[in-house]
Amino acid sequence: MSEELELSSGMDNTEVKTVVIGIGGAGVNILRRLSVRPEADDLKLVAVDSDSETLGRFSAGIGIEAGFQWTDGRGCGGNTIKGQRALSVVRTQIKEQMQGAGQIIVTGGFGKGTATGGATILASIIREMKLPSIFIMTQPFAFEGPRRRRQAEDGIRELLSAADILMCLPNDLLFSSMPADTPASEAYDKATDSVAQSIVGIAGLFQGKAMVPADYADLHEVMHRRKSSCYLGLGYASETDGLNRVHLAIERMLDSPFMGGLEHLKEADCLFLVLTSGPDLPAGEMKRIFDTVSGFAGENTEIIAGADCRPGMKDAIQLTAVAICYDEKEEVRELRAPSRPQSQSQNQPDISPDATEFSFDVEQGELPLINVSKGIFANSSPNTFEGEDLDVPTFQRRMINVDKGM
Amino acid sequence: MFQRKEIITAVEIATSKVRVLVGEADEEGRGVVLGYCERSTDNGVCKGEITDLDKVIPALREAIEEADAASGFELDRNRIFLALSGGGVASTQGIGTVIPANRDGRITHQDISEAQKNALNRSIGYDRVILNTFESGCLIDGRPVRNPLGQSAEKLEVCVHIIHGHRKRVDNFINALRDFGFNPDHIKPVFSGAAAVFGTLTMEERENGVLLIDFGAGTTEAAAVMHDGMQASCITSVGFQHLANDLAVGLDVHISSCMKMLVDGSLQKAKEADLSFIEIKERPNSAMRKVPINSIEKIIALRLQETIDIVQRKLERDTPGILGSLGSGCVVTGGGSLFSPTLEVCRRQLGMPVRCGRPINVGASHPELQSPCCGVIWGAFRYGLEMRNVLEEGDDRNILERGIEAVDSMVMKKAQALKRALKI
Repeated sequence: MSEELELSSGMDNTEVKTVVIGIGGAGVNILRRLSVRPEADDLKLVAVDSDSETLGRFSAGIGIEAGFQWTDGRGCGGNTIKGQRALSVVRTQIKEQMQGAGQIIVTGGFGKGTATGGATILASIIREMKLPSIFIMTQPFAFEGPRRRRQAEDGIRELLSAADILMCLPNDLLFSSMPADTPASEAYDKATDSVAQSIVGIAGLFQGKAMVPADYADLHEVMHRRKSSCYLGLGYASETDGLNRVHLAIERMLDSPFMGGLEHLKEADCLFLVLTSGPDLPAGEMKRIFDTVSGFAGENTEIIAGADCRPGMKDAIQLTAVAICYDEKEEVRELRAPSRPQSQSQNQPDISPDATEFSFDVEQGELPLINVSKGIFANSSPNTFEGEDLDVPTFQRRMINVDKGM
Repeated sequence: MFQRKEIITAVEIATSKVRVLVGEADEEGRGVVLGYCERSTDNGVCKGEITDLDKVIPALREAIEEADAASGFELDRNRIFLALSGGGVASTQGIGTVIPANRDGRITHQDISEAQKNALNRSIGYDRVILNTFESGCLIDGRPVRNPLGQSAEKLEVCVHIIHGHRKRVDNFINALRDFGFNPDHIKPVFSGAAAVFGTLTMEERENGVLLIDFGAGTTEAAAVMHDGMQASCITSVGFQHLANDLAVGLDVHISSCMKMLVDGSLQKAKEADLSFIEIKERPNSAMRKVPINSIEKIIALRLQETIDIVQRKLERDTPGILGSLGSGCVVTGGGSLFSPTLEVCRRQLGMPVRCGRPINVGASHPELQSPCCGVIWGAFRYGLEMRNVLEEGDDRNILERGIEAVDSMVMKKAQALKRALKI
């Protein structure tokens, strides 16, 4: 109740409230890590899970028991359909918690039931409320087996079409910054901790009046150009850490487990940098940080840099870097699209044999490897676009699970 | 003075309905509806193409007879505009070049007409027939101009948007009308996407640049119009019926129940009431079943997103950069535009302002024509009106020794250009 009151009073302020929703077991664990970090004080934490045990351990924010009538509080057991149902039952409660929020960050781990199935429901609620959102989800370790991986991939595919921004952090990247003999439990802890840290960094994108603007809209624009994969790095350093906080922050950012090393910075098509600091950041330091990081990036990397000032940071600085690598396949398709006829009239460009090979005139229907059905269009004239049979329902072609109800 | 009545008949054979409109032009050249009737095709048309003539003919007969009777038996069998669609329709961009023949290098009507003719000389395949041609723009020495007439130039290029259809499939549509005593030579086919441009867009939108999407029952047509010229068009054989079919396949529910749920707004109501399940009948006469709303939303969103994505990609493929240069956003018409998620998805996918396209300047005499479903039939009628203008004024020009074959059906822009020309 006190939470609600605080929200309504907060609406008058110019600062908009960020709500972090942790979904599923991993999501709630991340929230627990988040709740002990002092930078996360101004975030509202909402945990949603179908498992009463994990929810019971979470006390720093609001807990929503999802679908206890189906699961009796014992979780979804990796069943995504159960996860979907569980979340859709608590739609109104989630909406209530989002009321008055300025932006939403959703976090959790793909691969099991509640998060994989429920994330799309959350996405649809967020879309309905027209709030900016970022999904920061982890992908399971390879050692968790192929079933988890497949389920995670299905979940990502489904969420991609529903979410505004989806960042997938593969847990396997952690090995790049971890010795091989690390115990598995520690690996999990590290994953959880890194995600929590990343959320603090991402939440910074939304907040404050930036000196040099680089915000959610910029990130949205960059991420929506093309299918991409991204790497996330975060460096936090304060004056008490050592003499050169600039050096330390950059080093820590590069060492971030989800950055996966320096080469990802080099390969990135776009590098998104946000520097958060206290009010007394010297301009020279800011320049040094951006110059240094830009130096690591490749020649053709587009760099979007922003600086943000938050009094709470005092003498500490935090550097958030999102390296975005576009999917190459998509790029090829763009290059091979036929050029505009108007321009051809001036000087006809040579059509390379490569281009004709990929021309769109010849279309071939894909072989139905999965059980698909065309329904009423079964006996109608063929209808294909770029090799896909459009009469087959889209969700079947994308191999997305649908809950048929009871 | 006695004024000859000029009756124009517009016929639309669409996936769900056949529509017939009989109208005339008033003194100021505006359209007045005399009779209108629509009938269900009873599944005789699938994805915009006739699959069962035996079902289409009776529907067409009823519609024609009723519209004829309502108009006071004024139906003119010699001026028929037939809106058609279907996967057989495609478009291409033709460019005609001419070196002005005049010694002083000034462009004449003859040059323009010549360039238009050259533009139409584009091979589209022996089995295809040109349906409509629209001017998209002119370039003199590579510089875009609004009206090249009278300007000095080394070279004139005229871009023409050519919409063509599969000859036999177009014949099928015309044959359906031939049985009612219409002379096939007097039936002018119109691509329904182009017709919708005439029916739903304001002059200002056509000038500023607008994307028109006609989301029909079986097909989705799109046209990008700018500077009052057709820049690009495409057709995708995916329509509202695909939404219902996807739901039927995905939820194991009969398609009629799915269609009913989409059309009667029960889905919207359930969403507003924050329900997580909706009760629908599995078969017309069976018990109710609970289906999660998010499953329905998911299936619908995926299909709509994909359809708009295909439209975007097809248009960008033919005319790169066109979608970024449209100033007036997007207009969605057709029955699908009455379903609110359609507009929502368009807005999100295209990132431009979107409005629902209802027929413009219809008048109050026929309220049923105000629905976005009637954008195409109203457009076919208005296309007929503009065609009449061009042909008549073209005749005038003909006296001044100007060939009109190339301009025959080049309506957009042409009517205005000719009006301007006549003032000289």
